[in-house]
Parts: sequence; C-alpha cells; structure tokens
Amino acid sequence: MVEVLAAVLILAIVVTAVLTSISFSQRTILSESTQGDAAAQAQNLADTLISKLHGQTTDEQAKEAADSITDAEMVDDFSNFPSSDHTKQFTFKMISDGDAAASGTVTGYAIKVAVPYTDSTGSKWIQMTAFAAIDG
Amino acid sequence: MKTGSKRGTALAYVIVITAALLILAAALISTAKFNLDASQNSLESRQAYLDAKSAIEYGRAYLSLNPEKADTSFTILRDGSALGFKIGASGAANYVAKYDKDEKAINAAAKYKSSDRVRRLGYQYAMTQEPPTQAGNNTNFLLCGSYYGTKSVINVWYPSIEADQSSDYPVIVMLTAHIDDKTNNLRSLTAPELYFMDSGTAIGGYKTSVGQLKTDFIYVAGDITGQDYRNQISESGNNTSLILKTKTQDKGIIYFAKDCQFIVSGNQLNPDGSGSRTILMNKGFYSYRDGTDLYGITEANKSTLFTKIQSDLPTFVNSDKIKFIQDNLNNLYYGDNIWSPNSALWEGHGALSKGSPSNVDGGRGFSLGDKLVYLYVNSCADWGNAFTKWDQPQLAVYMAKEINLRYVSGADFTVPANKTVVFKADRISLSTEYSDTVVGTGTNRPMITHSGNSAYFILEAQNETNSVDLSIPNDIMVQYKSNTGITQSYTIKAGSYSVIKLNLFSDDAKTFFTTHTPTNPSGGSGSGTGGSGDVDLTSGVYTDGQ
Repeated sequence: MVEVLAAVLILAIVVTAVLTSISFSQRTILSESTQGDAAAQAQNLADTLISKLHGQTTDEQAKEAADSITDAEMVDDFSNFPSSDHTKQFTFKMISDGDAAASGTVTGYAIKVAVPYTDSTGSKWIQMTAFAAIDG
Repeated sequence: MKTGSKRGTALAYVIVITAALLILAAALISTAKFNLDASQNSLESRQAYLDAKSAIEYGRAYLSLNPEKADTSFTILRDGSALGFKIGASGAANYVAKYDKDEKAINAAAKYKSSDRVRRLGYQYAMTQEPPTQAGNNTNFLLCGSYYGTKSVINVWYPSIEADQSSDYPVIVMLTAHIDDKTNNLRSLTAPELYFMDSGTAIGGYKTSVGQLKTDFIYVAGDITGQDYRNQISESGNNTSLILKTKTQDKGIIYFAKDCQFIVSGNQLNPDGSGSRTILMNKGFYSYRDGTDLYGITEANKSTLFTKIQSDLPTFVNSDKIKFIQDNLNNLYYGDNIWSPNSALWEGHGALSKGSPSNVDGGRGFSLGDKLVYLYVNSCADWGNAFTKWDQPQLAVYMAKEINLRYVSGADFTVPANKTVVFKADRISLSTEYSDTVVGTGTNRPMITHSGNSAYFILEAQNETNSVDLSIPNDIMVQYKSNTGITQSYTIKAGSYSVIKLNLFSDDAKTFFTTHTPTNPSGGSGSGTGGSGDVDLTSGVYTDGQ
C-alpha cells in the first residue's frame, strides 16, 4: 500500500513538473515568435525609410516622402521615442557630420523605428535605428 | 523469499515513466532555450544589417560629395551620438565599414550587440567607360576666331601664318591664309585639323616665304596660290614653299572641296620658259605623305604625292563634322571681344569679366539668334563685372542658336553670388577641363558652382517652352547650396540630354540628372575606346560584403 502511495505521489509530482515545463516552453516559444515577427517588421520599416528618405534635401520633403508609409505612425518627437501610443511608429531627424554648410559634409537622417509586441509578461517594444543619406 | 511476487513493480514503472517524462521536459526546455537564443540572434542580426546598410549609405554620400577620395581607402566609424557616422583612417579599428580604393567597394561588417558575430553587406561601385581620347575631346571644340584664352593663333582679319603658331583645337580660317613673311624663316601652324574655308583663294604664298602646316586633316575650299621667281631652278630664296607635316598619323588627309587649282606664278616654271604653272586637283579626299610641298606639285608628281581615297575614310576624319562646318560656316562665331565679323564679344581673351552678355548694354547691334557660338573661357574671376545693365543688375543672358562652352582652368566655373546667368540656346554644350591637352578622369575637372549662398545658372531654349539639346562631352560635377543652406552636388554624366528650362543650381536639376540616363553616353563625337575606366560614383550594386 505504501508502495502505491509513493508511486502515485511521485507520478503526480513529475507530471506537474512536466506540465509546468511544457507551459513555460510554449509561452517562451510563442513570445519569441511574436518578438521575431516584430523585429522583422521593424527592419522592414527601417529599410523602407532608408529608401524613402535618401535624396530628400529638406525636412519637408522627407516628411512628404515618409507620408506614403501607411502602416506605421510618423512621430515628431525624436527625443521621446517611442511615444506612449502602443502602435508601430517611426521618427527621424536631419543630422550632419560637421558643418552642414561646408562642402563635402555628409548630411542625412537618423531614423528610429519601434514595433510593439506582446508576450506573457506584457507589452514590449522592438526598437531599431538606421541612417539615410541625402547624397550618394 | 517468495518467487513470482509483483510487489515493487509499480515503483519500477513509475521510475521508468518519470525518467521518460523528465527527458521530455528537458527536451522542451532545451527547445525553448534554443528559440530564445535564435530570436535574440535574429533581433541583433537585423539591427546589424541596418547598421551595415546605414554605414554604406554614409560612405556612398561621402564619396559622392568628395569624389577625389575615390582613390583613397578609408573606414567608416560610428560617431559619438551612435546615430551617425564619421570617416576614419584606413587602418582604424572598430570600423563598421571600409572603402577599398582598389576594389572600388564599400564592405560593411556590423557587429552584433551581445556577441562577436558580424553581419556583412557590401556595395560595389560600377565602373565608367574610358573617357574620350584627348583628340576626340578636343576636336569637339572649334577655333573659329583669333584666340582661345590668351593664346593667339591666327588673325581673323588678315589671316597670316606666323612663326610657330599652334592650336590644341581645330582651326577654321574663314579668309585667305597668307604666307607672306619675307625673311625665308619658317612660319608654321599646328593643329589637330585645319580648315581653309575661303572658296576663292584658300592659301596664298609670297615668293620668299617658307610655310609649314602640321596636322592630320586639311580642308581646302579654294585655290592655292604661290610664287616662284627663281632665275635658276637650283636657286633658293625666291620661291614659296608650304610643307605638309602629319601630326599623329603616318599619312594625313587633305580634302579639296571643289576642283582646286595650284597656281604658282613665276618666270621660268614651264618647259617653254613661260611663267606660271597651274595644276588641277579634282574634288575629293586624298592622303598625303609627311613632308609634301604644296608648291612643288607638278603634273608629273601629283599622283605620287597625293593618293585619292576611293574607299572608307580613316577614323580620324569625321565626315559629319566636315558637313556641319560646311553647312554652318557663315554662322560660326567665337566668344572673344576682338571685333570681327564673327565675334560674339562675350569674353576677352578667355575672361568673362571682359565681355558683355547678349542682354547687357543694349546688346551689340546684331542678333546671335541663328549663330553657333564657340565660347572659350579660362577665367570667371570678376565675372560680376559683366552684369552691368543698370536695370537688371542681377541677370546676364547669353543668347544664340547654339552655345558651346569650353572652360579650361585650375579654378571652378563659378557664377557670382546672387547673380543669374542664362544660357539661352537651342543647343548647349558644356565642357570643363583643367588643361587644354589633358582630359580629366571621372569628375576630376573643374566643377560648375557658384559663390555665396545663392545663384542661378539657367539653361533654356530660345523659346523657353521648347527643350534644349544639352551635350556633355565628359562628366561634370555641379555643386550648389540648397534653400536650406546645405551644400549639394551631383554629376552630369557624359552624353546628351533634352532639358526644358532648368536651373543647374537646384534640387530639380539634381533630381533630373541623377534619374535620367543620357543618350549617346560616350559624350557626343568623342571617340571613346571602352574598357575599364573610372569608378562611377553614381551607381553600383549591393553585394554580400564578403
């Protein structure tokens, strides 16, 4: 009788442990899957922005070009990015590697993109950065 | 001990099942861990890819703005902000990408954030075709006046071949070319091509003159006259001689545009002792030997000295150009301000400041609307002085049917600050070089630019709604400041374009010339030979960066 009780107890413990590990593994895999999907979206968005902003000589032209991206929100505040809206978004600002008026100075756009995703612990961001040059 | 008892069997089963379940759980956890790592790698790999591509973007822009750096290897590093980049020395560590001057490629190797792995990406520049040869390039421009720059070649009013004259460009002599120096000293004219266009007497020599024409092609529109007043044929000093020398070929080509006479006046030239000798050369192309004396031609030796060309012309003879000159002879003008029947008065010995645009000071009293102007310039310094019309101080319009600008200088072709220069013509050719004789490679030649923060250089047709046929013999770089004060530049690739009223110092022009492929990309009549040439900083392909 003791033997049966011991067997049942062991089995219960082991089954519980296995079920827990299955549950953990499932959550982990699902979570990484959504993170990977968000990363792919972020890279794709940054890649698109590099193409769109390349050659745009003014902020106005750049914003006009970026306006054609419809599946992400354009955010103006480069410093406080991403914004509180939990949506796929991007921002950019013109930067220069020196005196912007000087000959031979490279000017372009620093780009930030953010794509939200949700895992078992809540909402998170995938953020990526890129650079698009005006010349070249 | 009782045999066959089943006591303890359940525990054995439990142990086996437990072991199996534990193995399964371990496998699941391992799989989850693997996924976690892979996903993290994926995230870092994607950012590394963007870093690599961004570094290449930066490098391409840097080379576009500094094309002279294409022959120097360098690295591309992260700047302090981690948002942009900066240029480093070729051996710098921690680079994101490096440019290889030999391979003409930017190869990026962006590191992952949390490991030493790198994501590679490359950009291989295309190579341009070899630039047109010097001869082909120079022969696009025609010297139809006395000067190019400060170099005097031949007086348009009384063309006279003097001592050691030469031109790097084909020379067109509208009136009779005289060889009448009376000193028996050599008088010579050297040029890639010589066109003697007076259909009456193309060349006239005096009895004590010694002339020499050194060229590979001669066009003779009229008769050639000379004198021989020697008392004895062995005597020297009282006859005319005109020696033909080839410049780069074994044999030169001479074209008689009509049945031409070689008339040599004298007193003992004929067998019967009479004076003059007249030899007829039928219209056509002939080859001549180096050293042929035009005044030594007789019926007996003319077929030996000149060989009529029955088949195709050699490649250095451009029959289209010959026809062009024939058709437009009366409309060929040059830019210099020396008053002559065919001067546009736009510059003085190559200095634009010493000429007046078409719209200044009420013009010059005649229209150039049907003229083809060959404008040689070697100085834009003080060009602002040309903008003198009191009521339009900012505007200078150069108007003609065709404007062919040849700018040769160590300085850039620079429009003065806040001025507007208009080339108003149905066909415009723009050519810049550092030297008359050396063709630059790639964009290694003077830029078209402006001083100050703003200026306009407008190309438009005489009827501004029509398009301009724009010809660019060799790549030219244009640099300007945009409305936001940022220096912009672009390259006009060699070839032909059709443009409608375009300001070269504008983003519109930059967009046009970076998105349009020219027709006839060899640059017009230049004779490019193909093969590997210079790096083309405007095009290339992404590679795996290995």
